[in-house]
Order: sequence, then C-alpha cells, then structure tokens
Amino acid sequence: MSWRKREAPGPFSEHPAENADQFTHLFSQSSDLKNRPFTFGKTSGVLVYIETLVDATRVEEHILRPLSVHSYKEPSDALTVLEFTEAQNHDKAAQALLQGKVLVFFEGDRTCRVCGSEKVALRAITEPMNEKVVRGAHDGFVENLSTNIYLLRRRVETKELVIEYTIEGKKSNTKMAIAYQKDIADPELVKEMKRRISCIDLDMAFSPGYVEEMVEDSSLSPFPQLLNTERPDRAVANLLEGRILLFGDGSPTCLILPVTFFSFYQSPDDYNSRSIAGSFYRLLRLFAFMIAVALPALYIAVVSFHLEVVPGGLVLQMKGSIEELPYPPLLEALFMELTIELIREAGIRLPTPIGQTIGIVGGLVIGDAVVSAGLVSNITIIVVALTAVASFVVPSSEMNTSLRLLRFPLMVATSIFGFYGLVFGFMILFIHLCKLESLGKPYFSPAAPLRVADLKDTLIRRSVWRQNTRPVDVSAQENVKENDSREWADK
Amino acid sequence: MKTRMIEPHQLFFIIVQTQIGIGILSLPFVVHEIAGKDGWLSILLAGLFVQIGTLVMVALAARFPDKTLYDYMPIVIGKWLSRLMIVLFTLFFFFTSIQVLSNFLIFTSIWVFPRTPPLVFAVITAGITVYLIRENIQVIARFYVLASFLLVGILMVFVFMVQYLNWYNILPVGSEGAKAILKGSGQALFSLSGFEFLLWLFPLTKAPVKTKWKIAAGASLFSTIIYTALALFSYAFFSDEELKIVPEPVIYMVKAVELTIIERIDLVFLSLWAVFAITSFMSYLYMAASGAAILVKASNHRSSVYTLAVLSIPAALLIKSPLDLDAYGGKINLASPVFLFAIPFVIWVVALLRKKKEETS
Repeated sequence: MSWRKREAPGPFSEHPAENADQFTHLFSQSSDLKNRPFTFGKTSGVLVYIETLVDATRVEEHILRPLSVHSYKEPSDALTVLEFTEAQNHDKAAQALLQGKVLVFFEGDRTCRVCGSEKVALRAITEPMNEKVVRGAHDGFVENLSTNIYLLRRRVETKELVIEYTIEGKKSNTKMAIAYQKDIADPELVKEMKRRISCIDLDMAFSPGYVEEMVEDSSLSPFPQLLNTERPDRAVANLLEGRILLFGDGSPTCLILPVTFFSFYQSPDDYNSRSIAGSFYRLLRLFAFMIAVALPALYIAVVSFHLEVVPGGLVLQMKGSIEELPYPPLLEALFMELTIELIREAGIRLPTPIGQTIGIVGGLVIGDAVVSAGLVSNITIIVVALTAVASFVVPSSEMNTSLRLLRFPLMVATSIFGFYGLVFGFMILFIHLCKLESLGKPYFSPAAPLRVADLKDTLIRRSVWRQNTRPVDVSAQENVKENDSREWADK
Repeated sequence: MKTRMIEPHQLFFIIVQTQIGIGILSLPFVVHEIAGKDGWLSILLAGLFVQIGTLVMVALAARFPDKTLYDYMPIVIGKWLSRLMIVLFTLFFFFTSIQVLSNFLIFTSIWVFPRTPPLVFAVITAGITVYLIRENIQVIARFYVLASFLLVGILMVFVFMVQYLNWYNILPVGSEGAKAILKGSGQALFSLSGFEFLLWLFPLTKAPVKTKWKIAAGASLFSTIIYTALALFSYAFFSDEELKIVPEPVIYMVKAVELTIIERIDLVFLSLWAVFAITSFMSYLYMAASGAAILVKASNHRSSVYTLAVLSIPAALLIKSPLDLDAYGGKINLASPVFLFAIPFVIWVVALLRKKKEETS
C-alpha cells in the first residue's frame, strides 16, 4: 500500500474508536502506538499515544485521573496539563504524536485535543570532555534542545535574545534553533543565515555537522568556518559579540557563525586568568599553530636541502643521526607522522583502560624501537613529538583535525623544493585564508584585512576594561561593549 | 554587485608590494653599472620622479574620483583612442610581468636550484598567482598586507649589516657626475614602478582625495628609502671595484652574516625575496588581466587571468640568460617613462583643456 492512501482520510470522526483505528492505520499497525478507552461522566472517549514517547506518570496523573475522578462540565477543564491545543488535521495530529503528545477524543466531538506529556530523558549537565577549562563554569550543553536554550537564557537574561525554531530534515524532523541578540547582531547577517537555512533540503539533520556543510561558505576548505562548542559560556560570549548561534535537537554542540580563524584560538580560560597570562597563552597557541603546520616541513627542508643553515655545533649531530638511515627524510617523517595519527585514532576509539596501553605501546615501544632499529632518526622523533603536542594545543577539536592535515602537503612541498617549498606552501595557505569567508565576513580578520584595534582580543587578550569595542568583522549594530569600568581609578 | 572597496592602509601596501620585488637583489648592481658608487643618489632621484608622477596621477584621478583610468579615458580622449591606450597599457603590464617572472626564474636558477628546469617554477608561480588574482581586489589587498610583515626580514638585514660597513667606500659623494646619476635614475625607475596602480585603485579606496595622495606618496617614499638603503649598504660593504663583479651584491652581503641560530641567512633572505618577487608579478599580471577583460568586454577578469598566466609561462622561459634579461629589461625601461609619466600627463592636460570632469552628484 502506498503512503498516499494512508494519508489524512479527512476530518476526524465522531466516534473515538474510529479515530483510534484511523491512527493505527496511519502508523501501519506500529506496535508502540497505543490507545486507552475511558469514560468521562456519560461520554466515552479514547486516548491515543505512542507508548515509547510519553511519560506514563504524567498521563496517569494529569489526564486519566482528572478525567475519571472528577466530574467537570467540560472535559477541557478536567485536564491539568500545561500544553493543551487542538490539531486541525491528521498530519498535525500525527506530528504531535511523534513529539510524544497524547491525543484525546470524545464521543460526539470531532475535535482532536492534544496534551503535552513528553518523556524527557536527560543526560546530566556535565563539563564537555574535549573543552575542559581550569577555571570558569563547568557546565556544558546536552542533547536536549530545551535544556540548551535554558542554559543560554539563564546566562543572558534579556528580552533582546531571540530564539527562532525551524524543523530540518524531511524524515528526521529535527528541531533546530537560531539564537541571536537582536540589538547587537547585524540584521543582514541574520537574514543571510535564515536564507541559507531555508535552502536546506535533506532527509536527516541529526547533528549540526550535517547543517554545517550546508551553510558554510566554502565546504571544500580544510578550515572549519563555523565554530563548534559545547560550552555555554563560550557560546554566550560569542552571542554577545554579535554572532549567531545554531542549535540542533539531539546534539550537544552549538554552531557559531560568522567566526574568524582566531575564534578557534580563544578559550574561556583566557578570560578567567590574568590578562598577561591570557595573552601569553594566546600567543603560545598561535605559535603552536605554526609549529604544528610547519615544523616537520621545516625539518625536511633543512635536512634534505639546507643543512648549512644549521649552526656548526648541531650539524654534526644532525648529519650523524640521518647518515645511516635507509630512507629519505620525507619518508621517515611521513612514517612517524602517520604512526602518531594511528595512535591517536586508536586511542579515541578504545576504552580508557586499554587506551593507556596504546599510549605505552605507541609512545615508548615504537618510539624507542624505531630509532634503535635504525628506521628513523632521533631528531625526527623529537620533531614529530613536538608537532603532535603543538597540534593538540588548539582549544577547538575541529581546527585541530584540519591543521594536522595541513602539514602533509607542506612536507611534500619542502621535500621537493626546500625553503622555496615552504614559501610556496605558505603563500597558498595564506592566500586561501585571505580568500575564505564565514557568512560573507573575512575569515582571517583581524590579520587580513588588518584591523589593529581588533588584535586586542585575538593575538593577545587585553584587559577586559580596555576592550571597549566589538570586533569589526561581525559588523555589530552596537559597537561599544565597555565604558570606563575603571573610572574609579581616575579619581 | 556592489563595488569592493579597499582601506587606505591596503592601498599603501599594494603599492609597496608592487614596487619592492626583484629589485631587492639586482637594483644596486644595475644602477652601479651606470652611476657608479653614486647609484644610491640615482635611486633617490628616481624616487623624486615617482613623486612627481604620483602627483600627476592624483591630479588626474581627482577629476574623476569614482572612475578608473579605463573608465574615464573614453570621456577624455575619445572611444577609439582610449581603446588603443588600453591595448598598449595591457601589453605594457603584460611585458613587465614577464620581465618580473623571468627575473625571478633566472635568479632562482642561479642561486637556489641550478639543476631544476625553470619551467617547474614558472608553472608553480603562475599557479599561485592565478589562485590569488582571480579574486577581487579586496582579497588581493588582504594578502599583500599580510605578506608585508616579511618586510621586517629585510629591515633585519640592515641591523645585522651595520657592523661590516665601510662608509669611506661611498665617498666622495657625487663624484660620478650629474649625468651619470640622471642616467642611473632611468634604470632605477623600473624598480620603483608600481605606483601606477594608483590610477586603478584611486576610486576603489575609501578615503578623501588628499589622504589617498598622502598614502600613495608615502608608499613610494617608503620603497625609495628601502631601495636607497639597500644600495647604500651594498656600496659601503663592497668597494667600487668589487661591485663591478658582484651582480647580486645584497645576497653576497647577507652571506657574510652568521647568527648563532641560523648560519646562512642568505638562504632565508632568498626565500623572503621570492615572496616579494611573486607579489610584484601578481600585481602586473592583475593589471594586465583587468585591462584585457575590458577589451574583450568580459563580465569579470577571471578568464583573462587564466589566459595571460598561461601565456606568461612560455614567454618568461624564452628569456634564458641574464644577458637576454638585460636586453629585454632595457626595452621595458625605455617604455616605462612613457606609460608612467607621459601618458597620464597628456591625458591630464587634455582633460584640463577640454574641461572634462566627473559630474558630482
């Protein structure tokens, strides 16, 4: 039987039993679709619900009990649920059923009443595993959309915070929410964001990752153009800078856009520590970016082309350690890099107790044995280990994965052209960064286009009371965010 | 589509990046061949000419604040003459870009990769160039500003070199005679060309006319100072006799420096120089491509970028030796005063006489 025949056979019937049958039919005799007959005074009725989605206690307490014990005139007076609406047709009613609501039908009444009684299976609000901070809030988003919005609203208690729901995914019907600060966010950006979301046409939108690829400007770029976070404080900080947040039901990640390259290097920790320390770690992270991308390539360039660059004392050691090796520097570095990637990938999948074993086998056994077997030089191990450590410094795991991939083409380039390869590689990399845009805003701002004033919260972190303006790249409506907070010091 | 505008500081660095390029290595020697140890005066003099040229261009552009040269030429000198001019300008920029590219290839094969065929680097350079200049001017400006941080590398050379200099080498100042200095400035002019980008960027920059003039003049002044200092340092480092046999004095000079962490900074310096050379090439090819796009009435400059980049590879490879390059560069050097000074000046005079001016709305 085609689904068309099953669809909406017209308005509801007067007889509760017929209505219940229609729904059983509509849901193809699905086993968890239940109905429960009851009598209300003299009239009989029936409840239709999906057993797996409703909260049984709520149905018993607030629907069944008031209907049976008390004798009100109107059945709508009896029901003590918060959400109480009516469905116009079978499609709407089916949708409500799928959201975990209960349909109530009465004898001689053609209306279909919808009572909210969803079961909510919640994970506790815990700190996100991959975005830990030393100081600061330790809560994180969960898989439930309402809880996430709750976390957001608790932090921003203003009527200007706008939440807009949409349903994405033709089959999965995932509820998504756009959140923005009405008095700060550029209305053009919000409009553009909604336009892009309205174009989405896919079967399932389980996680923001699905949506991410649909709305980002260049989906083939290695750089993520949307910031993923599970931290409410990070989301709120970006919200109040005039950026737009995107939530999806069923996923604890919040997407932020437009973002810049440097957004990925900001961590809530920076603001919780002193500004000098915060600035130091900012710079350290950007330095780590350079190491993670370029160090193996630089090593290959030096060892295979420009050993004369290295000062006298080190030349002998470097030369000595690679002299006996059977493979060219590119191969040994590639071999070690791939080993590290393997260890990392294996470590993620394995349960924690075995994960440690992998660490020992990978780090100690392979690392040591590979050198004594004469496959890889000592210095390569140091370079590769440094690179691995540097690549994990980025506070965002999205960016972390992308930048670990970037080093491979650079390694190949330097193994062919030496320093020139590095120059060519970096030119392409930076041209690419200059070209990238996030929601039409320059991605590499404030470095390119250079906005010296905005470097205050990207390269370094200036004191909060000196950060008077929002970044230019979001074109916020309200540019001033701080005003003479330390006025008292002038007196 | 709304016009993509650039910021004043981006105008500055676009001009600087176009001017500072291959000249870093060769200019001191080229000028020395003619003006002797007073070559640095030639560069200063060329800088003065460039300032005058900038003034003419600003005067011209100020009459048409919202139009580029290609837009207002038809108004001033008529449709057909202006088409001819666009053809000439396009060819001039294309030939200049070829000179820059072949210069880059020849130095690369002399200094870095003697055994790698220049074709490889020609293709890579053209590829990177296409990747950038097929985008709009905003993106190009962003990259140029970013690349300008490498100028610090050149300044570092000055810092390290100071201890090795012998200032007696450049004395007595002016002994080569005014004629030699003037002739030398003709040679230096090529390295300082790039300020003509102003004719196209003027309407695209978000600033008042006076600021734009200051920015453009400042950019040329900055490049003049860098080139003059490089020449001064090389002339003070090498004696007059040595300079005659040292074709790339700056690299030889840098080779003398040894740091504790980096033994050979000349290799690093050459890598930096590659960036400046490629950005100059990009600028000229962009200007050529945008001219060509107007000629073929294309909606954007992408297809002409692809065509010209492909053409530039065999053209640049035709120039095989430094001698060929000198001969070719000599011809470009003859043509550049015409395009940099004479044509803008004539158009300005004609605009003045015919009282052509943009209607201010």
